[in-house]
Amino acid sequence: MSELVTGVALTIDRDVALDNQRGALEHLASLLRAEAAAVDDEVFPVRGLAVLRSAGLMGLLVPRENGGLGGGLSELALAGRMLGRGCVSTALIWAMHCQQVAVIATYAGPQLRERLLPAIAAGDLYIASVTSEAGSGQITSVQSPLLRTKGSELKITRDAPVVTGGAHADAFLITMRRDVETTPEDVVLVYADRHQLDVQTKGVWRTMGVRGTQSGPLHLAGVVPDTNIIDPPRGFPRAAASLMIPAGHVAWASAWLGGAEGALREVISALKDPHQRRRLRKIDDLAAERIARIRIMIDIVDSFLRSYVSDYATVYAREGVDGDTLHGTAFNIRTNNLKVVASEMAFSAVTRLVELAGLSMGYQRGAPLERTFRDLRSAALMYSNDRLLVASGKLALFETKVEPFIWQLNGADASEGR
Amino acid sequence: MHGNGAREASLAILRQYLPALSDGRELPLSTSLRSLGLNSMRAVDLLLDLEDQLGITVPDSALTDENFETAGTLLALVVSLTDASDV
Repeated sequence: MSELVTGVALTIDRDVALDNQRGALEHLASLLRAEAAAVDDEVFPVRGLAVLRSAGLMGLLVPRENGGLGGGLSELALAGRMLGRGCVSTALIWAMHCQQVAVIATYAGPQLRERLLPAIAAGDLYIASVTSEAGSGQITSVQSPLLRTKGSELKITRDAPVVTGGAHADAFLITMRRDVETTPEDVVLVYADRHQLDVQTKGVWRTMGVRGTQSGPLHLAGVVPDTNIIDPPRGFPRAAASLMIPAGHVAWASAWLGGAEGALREVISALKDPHQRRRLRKIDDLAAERIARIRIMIDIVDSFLRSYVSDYATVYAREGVDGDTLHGTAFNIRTNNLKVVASEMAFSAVTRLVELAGLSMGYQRGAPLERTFRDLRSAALMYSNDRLLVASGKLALFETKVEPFIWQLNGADASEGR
Repeated sequence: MHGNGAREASLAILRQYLPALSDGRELPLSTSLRSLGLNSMRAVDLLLDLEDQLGITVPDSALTDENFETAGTLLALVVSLTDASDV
């Protein structure tokens, strides 16, 4: 029986910086790792999520005054990496939830914030993200309109092709077209408790990897009060570019990085055990070179992630979330690059690990390496790299700020003298 | 090309990037282009198209939200650039 079943209490201390809670985070990673094979059997990680709920990690981004851990992107990256080390599916489910929490904490009206944030911090609200629409990779465009019914109620009818954890979520944050009269680009967010919706499963999630995320299609229909609407002051596209996508990409990149890191630890530990090494392979120059290259890939993702998080924090401190820099082209390209670099490099590191470990360890079904290989194969496909690269390439044509980051900040006049 | 020629040509090009503007409907000069369906990706394609077809170069300093706010502000920019290229 796993520790999860026996209900080992594990709590993140609100009064200690997350950086200094290595023991708790490592324990968490090992608990999730013990469940990862079962989760890989297309089982949503209910028990893993229960641990995250009781540890307080569902409220990582909830401000301290609302009972949360008051974390930012730096804490998101650290926790995401440790969860990814344990189980990539669970880490991605949590990542998506945290992305929604970031939006609620920043943009929800006072009434909604006061109702939701303490419940999220207490681990009572796991929120699924409904942002995709069939036939479109874009999140800044939605066909389905909100309909105003009697007085102050809003009617939601929405098909969503991919909803991570939709069958298990306590609530949903849904992108909708503002009104039947407005364009699909006029997007608002609507919060709905599960009991306010009729949630119909429209298909199954049978995939190569990240099977535990159970991200199958849903049809949602229901009525919510208009106080559930979240309408960022400078529009959804800006909020998406400045907060929602950065938070999502940081959390995903961390989960993938953790996955690759966990796989490397596994292989290194096997290679250092003389008994296993005899069965696997000799540590010859080829093996050493391969290990070095894998380390480089992991270090590249780690460095890019940390510099992104640090620069984001610098901008945030100077301009807040709605300033021009985070919304600007240079930063958008950087956000896209984080996702592309992390998804490609983390998968490439695991591919090389399979090569290094060989058939007996790298290619066995049910072994962690094989699972992580399949899990990380999804990284380039979710929120497709192809689309991001086309966007970044076009944007870069008109973005001459290939220059030190500090000059890109609003107020540091980079165009002076041009 | 300058004056009315550039204006008409620009409007014809611009229309193609506004999916929310129904065929045959006049393009309003003061309506937000975003509300007519211009997103950042379409704006990049529009810019390339305007530059190619009108033989102008839009300087980086002109790539502002304000210039792309409405058909009116965009036209003013394009006309000023075509006039400048005629000098």
